[in-house]
Amino acid sequence: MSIQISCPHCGKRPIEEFTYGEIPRVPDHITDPDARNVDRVFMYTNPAGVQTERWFHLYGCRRWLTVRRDTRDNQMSE
Amino acid sequence: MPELKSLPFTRIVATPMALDATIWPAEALAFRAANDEVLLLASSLPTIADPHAIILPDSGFVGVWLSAEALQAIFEQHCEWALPATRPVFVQGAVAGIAAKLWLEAERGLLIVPAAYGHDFAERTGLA
Amino acid sequence: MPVAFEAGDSVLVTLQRAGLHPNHGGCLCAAGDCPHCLATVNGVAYVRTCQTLAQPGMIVESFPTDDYPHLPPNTQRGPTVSARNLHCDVVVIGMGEAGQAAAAAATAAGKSVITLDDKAGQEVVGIYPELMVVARTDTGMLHIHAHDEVVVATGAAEIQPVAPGNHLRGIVTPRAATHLAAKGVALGRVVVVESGGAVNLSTSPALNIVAHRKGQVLQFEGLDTLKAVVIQDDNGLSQRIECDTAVVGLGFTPRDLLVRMAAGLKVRAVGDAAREADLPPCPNAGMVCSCSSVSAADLQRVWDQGFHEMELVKRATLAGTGPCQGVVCVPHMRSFLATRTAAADPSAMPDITRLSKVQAPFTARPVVRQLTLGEVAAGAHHHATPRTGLDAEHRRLGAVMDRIGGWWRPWHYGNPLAEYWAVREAVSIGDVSTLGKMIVSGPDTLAFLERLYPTKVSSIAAGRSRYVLILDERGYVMDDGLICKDSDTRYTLTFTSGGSSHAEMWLRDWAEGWNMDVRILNQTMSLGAINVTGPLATQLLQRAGLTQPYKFMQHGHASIANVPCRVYRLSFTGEVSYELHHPVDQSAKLWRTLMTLGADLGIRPHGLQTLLQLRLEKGHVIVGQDTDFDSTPRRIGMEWALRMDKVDFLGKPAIERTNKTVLDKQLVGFEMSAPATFEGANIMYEGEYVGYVTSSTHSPLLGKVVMLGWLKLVNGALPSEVMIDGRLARRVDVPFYDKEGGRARA
Repeated sequence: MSIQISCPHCGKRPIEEFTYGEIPRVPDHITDPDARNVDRVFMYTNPAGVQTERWFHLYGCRRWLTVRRDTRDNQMSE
Repeated sequence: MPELKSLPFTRIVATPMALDATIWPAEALAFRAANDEVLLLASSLPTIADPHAIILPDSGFVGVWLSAEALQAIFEQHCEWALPATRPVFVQGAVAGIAAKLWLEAERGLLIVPAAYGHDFAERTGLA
Repeated sequence: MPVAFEAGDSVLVTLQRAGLHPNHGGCLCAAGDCPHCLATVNGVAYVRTCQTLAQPGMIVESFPTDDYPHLPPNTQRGPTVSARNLHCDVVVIGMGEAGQAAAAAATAAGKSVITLDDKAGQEVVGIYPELMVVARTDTGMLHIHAHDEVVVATGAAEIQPVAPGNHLRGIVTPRAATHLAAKGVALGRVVVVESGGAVNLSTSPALNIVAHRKGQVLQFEGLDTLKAVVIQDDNGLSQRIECDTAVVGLGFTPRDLLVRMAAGLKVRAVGDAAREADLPPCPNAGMVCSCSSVSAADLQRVWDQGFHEMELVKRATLAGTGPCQGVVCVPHMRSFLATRTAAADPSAMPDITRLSKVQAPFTARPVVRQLTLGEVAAGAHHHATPRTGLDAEHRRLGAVMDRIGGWWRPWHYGNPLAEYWAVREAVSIGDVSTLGKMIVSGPDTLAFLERLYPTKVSSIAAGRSRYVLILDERGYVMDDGLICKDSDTRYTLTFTSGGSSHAEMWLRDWAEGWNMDVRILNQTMSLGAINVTGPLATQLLQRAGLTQPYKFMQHGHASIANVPCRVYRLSFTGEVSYELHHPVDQSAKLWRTLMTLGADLGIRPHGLQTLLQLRLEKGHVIVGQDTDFDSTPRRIGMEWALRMDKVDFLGKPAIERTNKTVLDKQLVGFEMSAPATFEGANIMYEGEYVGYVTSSTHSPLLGKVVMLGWLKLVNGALPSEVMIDGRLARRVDVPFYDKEGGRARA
């Protein structure tokens, strides 16, 4: 089996039931609204560590959920 | 072999608060598909305390009642995730690679899939 | 040749008793650890014959001497293998002493336990994340989900000798000697060599042991079969002894492949599987890894090239990547690297037993057993393709069906040209159930849609629909569809078939992100949709119960053929069109009634092939076919669909940005003489590539080929004449057909 994700509504399910939806995050030090907009649209970070991600539970409730995933070992929290 | 048949659901999308407060008819089966969505099998409609609720008949699902043993056999072969131990219970997830909804009672259960996948689901689980 | 066996005999024992070797040679372990008894059994390659019970009529074939085992022809489909999913707290693998103790302890602690043992026919092939143990049995695969932990109690494997000639037949490990002798295999004259591992064969009195020495094997002599061994004792004296079987004791290495593939998982080794590995002497000559044909000389070669780490030596030589996954070669690779490392470091003691010099084995990967494709695929399901409520109807009508845009759809019903003329001159019906259909309701609905869509949603009147482009944040065209206003707080949205799977995620994501007070219902699979199109469409629908006429882009509710329908007047084909959205369980009833009522009007169903042809004559773009990932409204010539004077909409800032750049290419129409070229054909101008065709069809009505394609601007202008397929094509304005749009609005 693969990694599992805990859906707050449906429970723990294999990752294949979910569709990934990234959260492009703009670092706080970029304050200019225009630059923030460009960054959010075009720039992606790729952290080695815990990042916030959005997943859509396609095979269950069909709603978005937010999880914290450590990109180094795929440990999920929250 | 039991067959997948169209189920006369009413689909309700409303605020979670309104759904929480709803008193469902005694004989009704109300499946909480999401925080803000209920699939209802009932002969009458309750009042939903949300003026913007979407309440529509929905024939997009097919289902079949099966014995607990028949369901167990299908899960063992086609389901990677663990079923909860409590009964009755409503659960959703991939069964045979298709988005399924399950209403599990002590002795039997209702297995529900979108009608568009009914053919493939029946073929994969031997319900055809 | 047929060989006899007794019940309970393995294939290996059966063959050995008949004086046969299942493959070409190499030390036998008779315990499932090494690759030397692998053979093709009943057409399945890489079967461990020592672990397989002999059956009547079984066909065992050795591998070709200089080739991989042959696979069955690809026309031959293997048997479907089932998978059983089981759940428990603890899985214990191996039911020796340590395994039994672990299982008993877990049970006593109130855990549910599943035990697996290869002697009971459960062969574990891998451990996967979230703690799933996969095992092979005679009746299918087991997928066991452990909630707490997995205990590996698989014991230890015997280390095999590396010396010139170790590929010969007649070399066995101590355990194999005991096992084979007990099974009545004649081993002939036996020489026992203790090379750091004790060998006690006293339990096998039948053995004819001609010599028992301590020391190293310098050479195994023989052509195919062992004739003699040359042994060097601890004093450096060597001796040649003639024999039929050599039993070499080199100690043990833990069977820890399952642990080494499960780093970070709750997997624990107990008993001999957790023991320290013995270290054999440094290999100087002979085959180290017979799976990948890596000799001691090969190890030296990659050492000299600078590969000094286990993981690198594995990659450089492929040692350890074959059927036994390194069980045989890893002890020798560790010994080799420890010895060379110590020798290369003048400060180090030349003592290879110093653990700090001995590198850990490389990471193991699933699977540790060779599986058939059927076994790998057990329990897996390919992506299911949904079917509309008319699927059976299309097939009954003899439609050519295909998977298009994520659905099973009719391509045509046998006569595409007749389908075409039915739409253009009479009336036709088509299945458009695959369109995305979403309802949005709530106080924030209008505000929500205004921010999503580039059109001015507030100017759509109740009961009216509007065609819209759907943009992503980058200002690129993602999809298109309709916005249909039901009331001030409720709208119905449609999306293309291909875009519908994404539409719900998109809507919900933004509704949540903007904190909009809206409710969203996806009706895509709940509603069927039939497109009634052609100059006689209104007449047909009046017969079916439509009481009031609908204006172009008007929608409402009506009972058609006694089916409650949501009626949308629009046009994609260029003719008068009504989409009838209805409960999906009534699709067939509605379809058949329309076919019957329209019989004298010349009605025919049309498939997707005809639909694509009709829309191309109208110059309608198909998002995903004509558009690309960087298609802006400007590039596809649809800036008319944007209201840049709106405060904001999704993609507006990006469009303002890209509008400042120079336009470099555009999607435009072309026409040329027959025959039609293929979609994707190059467009050339003065010998240079300037674009490609995205849609192409021969128009029966216009008598020429009409196309859409991407065209680069040359010196700031679009070329008006280009070469496509080596023929002259002219750039023309779209639509190609009914430029004023009078027919659709009739």
